[in-house]
Amino acid sequence: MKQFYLLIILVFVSGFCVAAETYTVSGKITDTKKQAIPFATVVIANTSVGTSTDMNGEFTLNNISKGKVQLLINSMGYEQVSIDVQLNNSLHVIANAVLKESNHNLNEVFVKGESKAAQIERSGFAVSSVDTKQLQSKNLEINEVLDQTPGLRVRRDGGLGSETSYNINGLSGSAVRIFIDGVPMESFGSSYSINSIPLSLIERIDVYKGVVPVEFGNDAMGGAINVVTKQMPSMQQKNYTLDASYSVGSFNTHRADVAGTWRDKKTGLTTRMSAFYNYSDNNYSVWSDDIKIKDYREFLPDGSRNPDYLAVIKTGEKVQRFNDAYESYGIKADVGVTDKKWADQLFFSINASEDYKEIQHGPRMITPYGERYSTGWTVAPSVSYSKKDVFTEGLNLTGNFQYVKSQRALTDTTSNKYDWYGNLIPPVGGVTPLPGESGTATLNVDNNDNYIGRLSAFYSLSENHSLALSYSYNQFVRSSDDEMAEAEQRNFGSTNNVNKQITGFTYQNTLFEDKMRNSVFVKHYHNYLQQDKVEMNDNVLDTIHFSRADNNWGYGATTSYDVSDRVRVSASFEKAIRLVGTNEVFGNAAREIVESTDLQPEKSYNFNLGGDFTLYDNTYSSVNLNTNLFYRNTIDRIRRNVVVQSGDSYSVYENLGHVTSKGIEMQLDYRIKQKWHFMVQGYYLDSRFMEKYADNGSENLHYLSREPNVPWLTFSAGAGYTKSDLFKNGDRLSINWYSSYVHEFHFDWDVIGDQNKPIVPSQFINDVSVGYTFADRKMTISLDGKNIFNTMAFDNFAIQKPGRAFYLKLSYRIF
Amino acid sequence: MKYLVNLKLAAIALLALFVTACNDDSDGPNNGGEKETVKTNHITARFDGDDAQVYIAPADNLEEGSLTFKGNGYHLNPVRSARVFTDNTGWVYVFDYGGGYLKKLSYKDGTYTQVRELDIAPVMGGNPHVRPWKINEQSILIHNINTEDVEDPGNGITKKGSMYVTRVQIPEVVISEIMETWTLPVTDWDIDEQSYPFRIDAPTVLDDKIYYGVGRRQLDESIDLTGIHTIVLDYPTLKNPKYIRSEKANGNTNGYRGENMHAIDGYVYQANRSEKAEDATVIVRLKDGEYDDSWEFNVSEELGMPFNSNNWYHVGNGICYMSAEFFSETDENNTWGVVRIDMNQKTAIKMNVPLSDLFAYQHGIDKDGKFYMAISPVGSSGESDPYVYIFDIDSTDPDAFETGLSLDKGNIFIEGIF
Repeated sequence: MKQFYLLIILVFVSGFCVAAETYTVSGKITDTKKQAIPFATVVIANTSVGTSTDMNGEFTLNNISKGKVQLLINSMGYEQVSIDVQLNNSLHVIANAVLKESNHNLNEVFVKGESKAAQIERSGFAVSSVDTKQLQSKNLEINEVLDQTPGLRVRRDGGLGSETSYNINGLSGSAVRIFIDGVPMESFGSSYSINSIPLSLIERIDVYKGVVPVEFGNDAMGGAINVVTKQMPSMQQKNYTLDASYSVGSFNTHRADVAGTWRDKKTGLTTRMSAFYNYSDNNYSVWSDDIKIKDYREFLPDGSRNPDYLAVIKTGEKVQRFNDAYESYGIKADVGVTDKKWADQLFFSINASEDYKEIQHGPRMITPYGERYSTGWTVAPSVSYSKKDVFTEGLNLTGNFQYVKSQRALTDTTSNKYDWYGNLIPPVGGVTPLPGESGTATLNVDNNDNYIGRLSAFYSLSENHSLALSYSYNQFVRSSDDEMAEAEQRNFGSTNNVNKQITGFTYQNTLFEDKMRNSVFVKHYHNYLQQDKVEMNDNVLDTIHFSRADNNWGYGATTSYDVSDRVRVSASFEKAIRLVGTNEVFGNAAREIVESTDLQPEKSYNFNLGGDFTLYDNTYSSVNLNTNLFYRNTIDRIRRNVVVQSGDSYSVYENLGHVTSKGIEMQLDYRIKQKWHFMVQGYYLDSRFMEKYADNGSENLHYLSREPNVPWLTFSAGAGYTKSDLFKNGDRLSINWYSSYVHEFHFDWDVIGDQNKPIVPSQFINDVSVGYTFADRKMTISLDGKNIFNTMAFDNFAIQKPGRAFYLKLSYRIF
Repeated sequence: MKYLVNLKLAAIALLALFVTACNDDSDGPNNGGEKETVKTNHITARFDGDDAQVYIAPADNLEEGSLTFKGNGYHLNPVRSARVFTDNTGWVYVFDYGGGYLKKLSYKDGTYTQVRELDIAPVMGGNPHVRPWKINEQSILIHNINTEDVEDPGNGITKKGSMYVTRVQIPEVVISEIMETWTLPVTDWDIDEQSYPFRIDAPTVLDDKIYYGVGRRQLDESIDLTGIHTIVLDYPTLKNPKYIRSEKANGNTNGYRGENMHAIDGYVYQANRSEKAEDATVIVRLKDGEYDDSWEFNVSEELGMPFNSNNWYHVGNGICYMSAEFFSETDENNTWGVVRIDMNQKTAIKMNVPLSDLFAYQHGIDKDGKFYMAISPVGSSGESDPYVYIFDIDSTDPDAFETGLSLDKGNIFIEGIF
């Protein structure tokens, strides 16, 4: 048995002399062999103010009031340490501590000190939880953070503000749902994208693969991404913070955000505000074969017709995008109280944002547009409430209600046409130009109203058993019109109405001294679709009313077991539902979709088996392996098909049948001291079409073939080096390299044909970043290089993404 | 600032044009490459009901053997759908509907190579959703009617139609004639039936005129449309457009993707697409830019069963093979058969080939007294496997055909033989 000993070092360093009366304590927690202890908790005694250490064993506590505080430091397997810190003269105090290993049986260690991200990962769900603390110093967007998560691919159509789709283990679209603090992303409107949230406001991001907890009341068949923002600090005697960051880089890209909190000492009234601004010209170069340069001289100098008129004379010319600028801005404000008798938290919030986006081309980079653009805005007030021990001890309630009003408008009315250099194409004599760069002029406006209510109750039956009930209500109303559309293709303000109500019930327990955690759950999906279709017939507007209700059940279970302190296994299962939408069921004239009233929701049976192994761990280095195997059986998969009606072709949605997917993802981490971190990641997906016969009885030639347009083989690797106390005690320099490889994949079924197949090519992209945090921990500067070898990059067929780009970011904590 | 940037780009563009203009002989990516092509038969197929998944593969021998598109064939990869034409020298022309490009492919040793590409949209008002047709060995025509709503005070909405036509010289693939955009006249018959022409296709040249089949739509769906219609222009100047009508039959005359009008012995023959069993399929004829009211052939009456058609092929001597959709057939996937027509004798025979779906069928070929057409019954209920059917043109026997090259069974539709 090891000897007990305890060593505490307190170092006082003078901080920034700002006329603020709050103090910062930071430090590093190590074990007796001077190895950093990650995820140790550091809590101010008798308060709920606290934090946990990062991978380097470091922590920072901000906004602490003057006086003496006692820090309690805990970590699993170590004895608790308490440090007294005097906050008088210096605004920034460094408190380091050394924890002694506990001689207690590990089973008896109370695991309260685990970070929330680590807790989520041991819940039994197949989940990757990204603690963003490590990423604050990098110049990353959320989408880039997500793209580095195993099993998740973020596919983008271009630069800042471009269309983004999330693909979890091969499923995308409405099979993958995004949440912000549990509220469905789509309810914020399209002007507020996941990328609009500054990384500094985010606590962590949880990516659920396949099996999704009940409290996310939505039909997330393929998985869910939940962005958890930083919660309001509470119980502190006095508190205000203000953080700001600004980033500038290639393609005239500017991103700025500011976030502050303030809490009134006497009343407990708490306010949080944040604002963001994004702008980019997105004028990056593209040079793929789809860039076709044509000869626009109709006549030769001698007056004869130019034989090369409109012929493609050059392909793959390097041109700059010229109608792709993006601007978005927004604010979010929360006002509320905490720790009242009648509410642990009661907050009123408002979220408002607006965006403007130019559109360079259609779904493929074929014809450049010079004037087409869209605009959108969103206003979303909400209220949220939570209270512990309501009526009886152990019964916790949370609820929130949100109303979201948003609009998206698309403008394309010009009869000008542009070439790839951004020049006007000369008009053709005698030919009347048509308005609309895409061939059809549009002034389409979608008006959306969304009402969201969520209520959940959690009841602890005993220390190891609990029940949870959650209910979500979502009423979504969209009316659309396009005054430029012809009568037969015009919606005339037709409204689509979706009422989704999802009720879930969960039982959870922990067994074998908390080594095993289990949950079983059942969900009921109620989906009521309504459409009031306005049509013009015989010059009279008629309204035709359609409605349809669906009721479906889903269920699942999760389990996680700590075999030893180095091995944890987890498994989960769910029968999940992807509900149908109004356009899919009732059609949409403007989008040339015909009705499909028998369309059934997609159903999927998801299985996951995961393991987390510490392969090697000594005082010098550690090797960790994390792996997840999954199997998914999807029936009634929905797809778009083409039908012919009265001599014209239209889209129709139909249940295609049966797809099975299996796959594996793996991540290996190697750490040396607190300085080096190496990571390799691999992912393989095998998704096959399992329907032998088509609806009409034809044999499917693509039976058993690989599902198209899904990346199925990816690798990535990263290396990071961190050096603390480089120039001054307390500063930190970090250098990171990240490489990713995506293997080529077919856009169409690969079994048919062998020449000129549309393929998204293999690509290998390298990013580097250098960040420096000053000794006072108030300011961080980072420089990022993306796609540094200027590789031609694609996520989607025939749409090139930006090449090499550099960004400089400055983050500053003002208070 | 942006103005300056544009100016700079304009300068670069001009320079680029100047450089290319000075290098007329240079091998551009689309003018160079394969200069040779080999004449053979080609078969096109649409996979899994998706218009954007269209493949072409060579079929040197249509009489025997088998052809599969599994791991074989060139993906035409159109934005929305592809139309294919070939000429006598072996070039393959593909129009990318939705992308607006006319492409020229060479073929040799099983390999297709794109050798030239023309952007058609700018001469069609900027619209890439226009239709192509190869009318002879020198010309591919690109045409479209664009409609827009016009608010007519007191009368609600009416339509204004504009017609666009461009002639492309082949095999060079060079724009040679551009029609001045024509605003379609509002005729009495369109006012009476609250209708408007929305589509033109199936152009046919005879002497110094070109004839376009016309598709009409009504604003009030309760009104039945009557008559058949044609737009006639001078050829090759594409001037003097006229919109004419005959009341010998009811229905559209633009066809769909296959041929619907033919110039035979000094007349242009045209068929209607009847909307209902009570309307007969009638062939009428035109000459000198007018309907010839002295001649008509009621094919439905002669055959003795109600049907309609949107594609038929002339194989010489007034003999035609017509794809026919029979109103009485009950297997919804397979309602189309083939009818042999003799225009001179005014006879029609239903051939005993298996029923299939020929709605979107594009092309068949005739060679040495035989007509080759692909018939692929849909689904397991089809009585026979898909084959190239070889009809004996001279025989009036409904069984005068044999099966040749065997084709893919399953969710692949053979669009045509070229």
